[in-house]
Amino acid sequence: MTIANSNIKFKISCKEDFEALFRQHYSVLCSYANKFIDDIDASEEIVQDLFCNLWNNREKLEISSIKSYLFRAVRNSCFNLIKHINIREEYKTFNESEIKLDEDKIDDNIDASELEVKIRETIELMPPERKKVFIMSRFEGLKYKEIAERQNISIKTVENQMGKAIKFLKEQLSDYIILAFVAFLEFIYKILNL
Amino acid sequence: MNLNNQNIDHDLLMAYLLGEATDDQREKVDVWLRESKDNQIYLDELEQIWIETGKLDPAPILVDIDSAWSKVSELLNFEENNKVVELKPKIKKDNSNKLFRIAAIFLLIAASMFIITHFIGSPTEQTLTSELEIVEDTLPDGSLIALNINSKIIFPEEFNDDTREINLEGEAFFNVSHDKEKPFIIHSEDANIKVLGTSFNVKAYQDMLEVEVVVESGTIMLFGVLENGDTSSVILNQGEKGIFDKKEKKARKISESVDDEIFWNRRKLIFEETELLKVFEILEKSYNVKILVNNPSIMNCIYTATFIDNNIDDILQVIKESYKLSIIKENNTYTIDGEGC
Repeated sequence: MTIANSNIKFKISCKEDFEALFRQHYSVLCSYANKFIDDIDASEEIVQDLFCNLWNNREKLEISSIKSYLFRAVRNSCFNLIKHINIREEYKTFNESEIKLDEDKIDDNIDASELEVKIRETIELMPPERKKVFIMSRFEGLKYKEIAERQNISIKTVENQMGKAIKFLKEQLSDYIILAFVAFLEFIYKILNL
Repeated sequence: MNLNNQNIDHDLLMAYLLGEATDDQREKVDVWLRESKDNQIYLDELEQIWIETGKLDPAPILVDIDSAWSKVSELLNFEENNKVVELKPKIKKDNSNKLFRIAAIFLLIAASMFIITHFIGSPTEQTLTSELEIVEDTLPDGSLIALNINSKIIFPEEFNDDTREINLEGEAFFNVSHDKEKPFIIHSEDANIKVLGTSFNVKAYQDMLEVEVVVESGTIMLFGVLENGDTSSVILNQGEKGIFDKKEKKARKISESVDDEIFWNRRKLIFEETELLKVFEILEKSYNVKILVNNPSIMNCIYTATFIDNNIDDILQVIKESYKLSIIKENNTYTIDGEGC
């Protein structure tokens, strides 16, 4: 049951639709929150609270674009959290102008390409250890040795997991990549005037 | 451009792309690349995928959607999907039907087991077999296994939610990755071994009367189900050895500590003009010991030797004589001193 993102006023009426919405966006919303606050547990809490509020107020809310709503709500919660922490600690690491600057970035994620969505889905489908290893390598920039130490596994296991990860990505993305690769080739040929 | 690439491991290709490959590995890939232009194209495709994944913004993080949903679901008081239905046994005084009912229940269980194992078997079962060479591999959960010769394990492509179960025939050394929620269970005929995260050796050949287990690190439970339904079990800690008697289906511990019994696993070590720094690193990893060096210039010494089927004490003895070192051993820690190079 997929939720269509259209301009029709959106109302969540049943639990199944709500669960589908949750599962579809949970991961990317947590990743988005993590960008601001760099704390996975806090990010998850923010997103979970958001969905709870969404459900509890579903009668009152009329949302035109559910994706924009979710991203904006996460961002606002993050800023509130940061302000709250800053006030508590009595010094401001983020000042008002820095927070306002980020408002320009808000729309960057909303229209993710089909390829990006597919990549996220594929990573999501990996078994936990493989996902962790891949994320640590690709997005945290860690070397195999560091990953092995942090995860308490052997380097051979890291090699193995990375091999399986790329193989899986290739299988899942083959259609999309061909398009991207062809476009890349065309670009190169154009430059070389072939 | 969809190539069927079975002649090279993706492990090697990835290590190569990321600059993590050893000289050996790099060479293997270079040779493979020279074999055909298609191979180079395949590698380029993998690189393309790597590049594309890097463009993701925000960068993905590891979250468990299922447990997050459970949490939210609970907070919002949604109905749980699995309701536990309690069966209240009827307390009848009439005993004449008892035997009949017991037989019927056993029959039902037997029939269910038959159906489950024969018809709803796992279509994604994988087998790892070794014949004349030791075979090493990684299981779906990241656990490492080394199969001694003439051995075999059967395991699913992905472990299910509650446990990680595999079947073993022969001898294998396991290094099980930690997972409190999902115990790792090894079945070998009637013997079972349950672990959470440990390294140990299992010897379970068909023609032997017993299954032997030696624990290198951690704790395991060796158990079997007796005729009358009771479980015979024994807990083995680091350094302990236990056996499972296949005839009597009983498990027991047979000695308190074993030293270096599990060295078939590291049969061959080759050092060719290797710095002692590297040599000691390799020894630490292979034998699970700690090596402390008092004089740092010892690390610079260059060493060449091949060790086959040796234990750590013998190896260090040989190295000690080569460079006039002194070695003090305490439990699993070796302290080395001497003039360096």
